[in-house]
Amino acid sequence: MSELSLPRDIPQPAETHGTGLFAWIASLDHKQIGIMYLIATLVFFLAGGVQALLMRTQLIRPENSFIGPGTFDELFTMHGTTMIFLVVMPMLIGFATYLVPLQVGARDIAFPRMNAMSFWFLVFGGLLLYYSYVAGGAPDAGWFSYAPLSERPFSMTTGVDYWALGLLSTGIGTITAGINLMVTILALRAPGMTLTRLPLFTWMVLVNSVLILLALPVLNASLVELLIDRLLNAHVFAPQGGGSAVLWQHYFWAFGHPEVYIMVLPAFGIISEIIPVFSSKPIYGYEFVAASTAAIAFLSLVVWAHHMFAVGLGFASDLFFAITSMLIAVPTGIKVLNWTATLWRGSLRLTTAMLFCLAFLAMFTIGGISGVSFTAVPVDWQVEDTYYVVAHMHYVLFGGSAFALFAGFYYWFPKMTGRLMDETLGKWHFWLAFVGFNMTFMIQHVLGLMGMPRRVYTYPNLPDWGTFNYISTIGSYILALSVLVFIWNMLRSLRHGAEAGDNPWGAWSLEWATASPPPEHNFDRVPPIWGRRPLWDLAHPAASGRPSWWRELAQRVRRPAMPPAQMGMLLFIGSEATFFVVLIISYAYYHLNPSPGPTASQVLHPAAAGLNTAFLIASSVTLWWGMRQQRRGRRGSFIGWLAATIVLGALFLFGQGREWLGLLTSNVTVARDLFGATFFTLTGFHGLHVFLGLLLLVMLFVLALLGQFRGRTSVGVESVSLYWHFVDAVWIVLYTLIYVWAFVK
Amino acid sequence: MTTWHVLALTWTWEPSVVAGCTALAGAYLGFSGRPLGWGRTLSFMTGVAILLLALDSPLDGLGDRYLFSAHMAQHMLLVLIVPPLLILGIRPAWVRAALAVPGVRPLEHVLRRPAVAWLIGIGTLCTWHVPALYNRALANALVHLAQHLSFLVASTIFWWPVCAPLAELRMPALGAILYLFAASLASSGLGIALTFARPGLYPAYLHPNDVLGVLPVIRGGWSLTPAVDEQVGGLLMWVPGGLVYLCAILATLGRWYREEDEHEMRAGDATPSGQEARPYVTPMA
Repeated sequence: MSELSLPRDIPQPAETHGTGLFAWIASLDHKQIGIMYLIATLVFFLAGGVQALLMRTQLIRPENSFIGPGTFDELFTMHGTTMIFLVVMPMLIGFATYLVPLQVGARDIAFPRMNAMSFWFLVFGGLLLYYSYVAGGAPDAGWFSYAPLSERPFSMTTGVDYWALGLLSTGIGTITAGINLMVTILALRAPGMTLTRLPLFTWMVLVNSVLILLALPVLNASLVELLIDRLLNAHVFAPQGGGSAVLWQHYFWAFGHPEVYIMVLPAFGIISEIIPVFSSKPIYGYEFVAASTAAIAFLSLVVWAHHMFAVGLGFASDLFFAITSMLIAVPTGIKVLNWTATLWRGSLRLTTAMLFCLAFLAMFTIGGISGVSFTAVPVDWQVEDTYYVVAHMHYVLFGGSAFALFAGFYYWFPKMTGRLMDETLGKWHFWLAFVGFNMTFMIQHVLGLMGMPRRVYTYPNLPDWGTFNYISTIGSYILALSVLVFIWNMLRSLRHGAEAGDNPWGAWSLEWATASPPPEHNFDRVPPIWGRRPLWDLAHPAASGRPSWWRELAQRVRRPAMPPAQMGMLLFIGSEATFFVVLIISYAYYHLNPSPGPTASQVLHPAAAGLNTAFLIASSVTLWWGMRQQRRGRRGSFIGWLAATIVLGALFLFGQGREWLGLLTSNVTVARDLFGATFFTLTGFHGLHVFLGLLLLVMLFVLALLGQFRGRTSVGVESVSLYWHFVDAVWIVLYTLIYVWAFVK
Repeated sequence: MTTWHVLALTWTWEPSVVAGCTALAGAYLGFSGRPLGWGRTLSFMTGVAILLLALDSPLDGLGDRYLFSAHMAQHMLLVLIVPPLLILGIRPAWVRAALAVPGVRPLEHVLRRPAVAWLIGIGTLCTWHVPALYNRALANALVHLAQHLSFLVASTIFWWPVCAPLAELRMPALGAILYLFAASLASSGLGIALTFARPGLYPAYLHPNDVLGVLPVIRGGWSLTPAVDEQVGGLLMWVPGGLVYLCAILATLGRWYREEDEHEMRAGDATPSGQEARPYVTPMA
């Protein structure tokens, strides 16, 4: 490995143990984990597909009795949840896990062990969700589980509990995956690979990871509150106990709308990689594609209420959200224009991957236009909860994201396996999918406009309804057939596909510079990079404007602004902050709209909690001082201050426990009123964070006693201290919010 | 009475504001050398014009007494539009001269620190929306003047590290994007709180003293009841306010693209790893 031109401080690939299946299960290699993501999500894709076929079979004729209403409710809930949380989002993350380190010229992903954890959290979440079938009934409250339907009195089985737990698990995995990808992109790029030269797929994964860190914690926090409602009899979203069901909708869509873009931005990235290669032209307007991605991501955070026009938010709110939602069409339109302009006068190669990209352009545009139609509030009221919405979202998620994913499979399969997929079977797959998809969903626009409601297990025999549904169902069978062709093509090509070679498509991003499949360490040497198309630039030095000192590029060392571990911790803290913001909003909301029952000013003692606050602030000071000692090389003193920090943290937890005990004995509980529910949720989760921080500090302490941390600085100590200071800062906010606010008027 | 009557009646034409804006524009033209840089001059003059509009148009007349939403629109102009336009109009030479004055450079250095500038800008915005303070400003002209002045000053401090005329005074682009993003979250959060707050947070708008006799048009013709008015005010801060930050983020992104390319394409500023350079054999050859 001595001839490697990558600097030593870039992480080397993590070690792999074992052989055979165990080598996969225990793998820490981002390529193996990426492939496992794709396999697992394909399995879930088949499960979700079977659910869809069962529903379509039930709907093949009016007043059919193939499936009863209860089963139908379970089916559409499981289908939506599976496709969104276990297929589209993780499949895109799987591609990102495989490709991002290769595209930025890195040896491995930033945190290989956390990468494996992300994947297994996904699998675990999926299994939890499906275990609900065994445990007494699948969830049946829709993929968004609107309260109060999802509350205990209306969903008595454990289905919704498993739904929430499963999503919580996949959600944690998604957040850690987002952190991992972001740190990889920001800190591990090869020399010359500036952020402005990132392949567009990687750029979109970066923007997407920002969205993940902002959106998924919102979902996690609301799931936690829903679970507390269901399992501990709180009423945060339950109107019968004074809670607000609309609050759940706000939370869910504050997550749910960015989620739409989380499921489509990396798909945009796939398209932006494939179209230029098969048009033999660079992407038209790289800067506009990149910047419009950032604009979409930002706008997606402020438009969620357009999912709630039918709730009755009021005229003014509807108006503003209608306008911002229309605005999203502008950056999206810019993208479609850029892709089309890339095709213009290119010499096109109509491979299967390219065909899926072209179909994506048309299908996504249709889905986008029907999406804009919802921003007209009266239209939205008219078609809300009809098949028009079903048609729209499938044009975006199947005609959009899934077609892009198919394109990605055909394009990168040779890189992952060393063999090309069969083009004849590929064309069959494409045409069957294209015809089947449009047959299934185009007609549903009409059914929706005719008023056919979604999420109902059958329909009356009205003129044309039976015929149109029949067409739709036949289309879905054709679509299913196309997926079988696709799976067969992959299995067959694994053994019998033509040898691919390093760069079968004549592409120009870095993953094509290495072998197919790439060696465990990805690259023997990373080529020098001075433009946006590194391999094309190498082949055309003059035309690409190669600088005279280009040889020097290979010797450069990129020093990231901060160690990856610390960057990862900061991003994790960012996602945790979002999580707490949601819990804080719940508390503040019910503080301003109190329900009957004890309130903060009646039962809390600000002085005792103030003493507790002093302990925690002091622990931040001792930790800071201890690290100062460490930097001066005074190890003994460092260990001593670390011990003081641990004692102070433990005192805080002790004080917190006393306060809780006092409240519980005077019958202030989670179930009593909304103050109790939100107070215990907020302080409980903070206490849990203190407890985890304390465990980390104890680990540091033991390791220090065993002789670790002999240097002046240590990334581990720095990261743990960042976390501890964050936990303290959260408490200062909570103390102000809960204790000061209650008593200052 | 029609909408046009209302809009005509509610221009305030405060002499001090007109005089101040004229003086500002005159001084700018007077001190600028020739030739005038069109971009900067246009930016500064637009800034002055919007300042005049914010302080003297119906936004002021209606915002003073009748409509929380008009008042919010006025504040948004003072906080989000006027300061960046004025800053973008300032000539670099003036900044250099000002920094040469003893005491200015250290002060600028402290105020430019992201945490300081951010807290001053967003802190001022949030503080004035505390009902007690906001209501005081509505009742007392002097407090109201202090409110508007503090908005202008604090927002100038806020926008300075993002768009100062000298490149070395600006924050690195990635930091600036985070800075603006955090600001948009805080300001949108405040907007969301106002949108969903109970009506009558600022009681002066519940039953305005209708000295101009325009209330029937506002309540009847425009259907702006106090509840809707407060909601519109919150939404103005939440949505269009957020979009201003988005534009600033996109502009910063554009700047970053230019800067990073220039930086990376300079030879010889990297650490050599001590290995011989070997030409890489292209796989496409």
